[in-house]
Amino acid sequence: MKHDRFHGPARAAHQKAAIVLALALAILFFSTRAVFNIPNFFQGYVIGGLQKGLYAMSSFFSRTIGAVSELRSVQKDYEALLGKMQTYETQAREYASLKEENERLKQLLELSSLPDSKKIAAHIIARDPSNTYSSLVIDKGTTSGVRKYMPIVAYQNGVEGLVGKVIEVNATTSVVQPLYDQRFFAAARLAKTRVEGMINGQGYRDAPLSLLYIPKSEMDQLQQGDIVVTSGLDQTYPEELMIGRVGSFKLNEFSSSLVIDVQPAIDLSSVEYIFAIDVPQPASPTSASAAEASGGGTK
Amino acid sequence: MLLLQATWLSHGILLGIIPNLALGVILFTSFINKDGQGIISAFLAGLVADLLSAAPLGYFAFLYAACAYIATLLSYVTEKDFFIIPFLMGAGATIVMGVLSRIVMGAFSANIHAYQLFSAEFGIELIINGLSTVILFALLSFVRKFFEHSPKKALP
Repeated sequence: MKHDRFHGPARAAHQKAAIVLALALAILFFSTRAVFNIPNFFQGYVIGGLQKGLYAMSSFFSRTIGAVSELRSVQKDYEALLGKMQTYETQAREYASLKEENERLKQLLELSSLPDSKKIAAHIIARDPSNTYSSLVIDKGTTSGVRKYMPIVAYQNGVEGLVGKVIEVNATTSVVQPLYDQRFFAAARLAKTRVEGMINGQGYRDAPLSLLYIPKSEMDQLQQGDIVVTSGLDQTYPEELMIGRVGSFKLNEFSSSLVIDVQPAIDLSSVEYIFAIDVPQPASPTSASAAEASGGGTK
Repeated sequence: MLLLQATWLSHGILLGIIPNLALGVILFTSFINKDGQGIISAFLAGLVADLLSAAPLGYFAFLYAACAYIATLLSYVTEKDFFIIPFLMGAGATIVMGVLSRIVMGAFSANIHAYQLFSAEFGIELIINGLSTVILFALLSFVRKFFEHSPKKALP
């Protein structure tokens, strides 16, 4: 029996679809114009709590199964590490003396060094469930000192590399925008030639990043494997933070800049621990000059 | 399903692509409920997806509701089989989401991310979603009664 398209259950389906789609578009209209704000309580506590719970369950099972084989390898590693300890003690003494010499030279040259930044360690407990958006959820929030726009780094194979930045902060969780996100932009430079550009993600974790606005004249000096670092000019990321290495590059005929692919230094598919850097904000020129004027007046 | 996608399946299956299991469940619910109850479920699931994702509120609600509406319309012209129809529904829904995401991106703001329709990643996601929909349809058939909306059951 052929169903009539405009009567019975079909009509109900059409009506429900029209209402639901109109409602969804209205919500989308308001949310993209920042008129309607997502309730932070629901997102922060309820959703964050569920994500933490599921992560705890999966990590419990994987750790229990892995613990048995780990015990065997721990014994072997322990004996090997004892031998390495003596070598490292010697190196530590040499490092201390080199560090003192470095500090003295910096003072002589009057270089300003970055103060030791506070680093907040966190776990990645969830990722974006879709393939169009890229976000990571970490298990630290405002209660641990995380702030919006804090840069995020990770350590892998002896390298400290940029991971992204915090875009939303709740009480106990935060959302991180990774550097492969389509909306991620950071001021960058080539470490060798010091030429400045901008790094941008392509939307996929396995796709390389794009280094933009590098002039064509740099093509002769550019080599595969050149290191790309943050320039610090956007005042969001500290300078000299490793982003990745140059992969392939080419010159488009009618473009004034090169098209450069950058392989990220950190493989985000295997990262579990990240660090949020508490970068101290630079003093504004007006406050610095006011401080000098008041100090001069009292003398 | 959305929480599973965000946590246990967050690393993806192939090349980092996450199967859209929530979409499969939505298609099943919409296909077996001819009166449109699946559309409402899809809208609510989309709102939850928006809260879990970095997407603006309403984005996935719209995409999932549209896919559910098409699945409901399909239920009037075809019957479910084991492989072909579920696979085509899963892959077709992915294409619908890709096209609609482009339209939404053009209509609203640059803050909207859209699928890159002619990329290898989209092709892989299309196939993965088709296959996962086949599996979900087979599994959910055993618990079909929990997904069917029957107003008569609510009456005393």
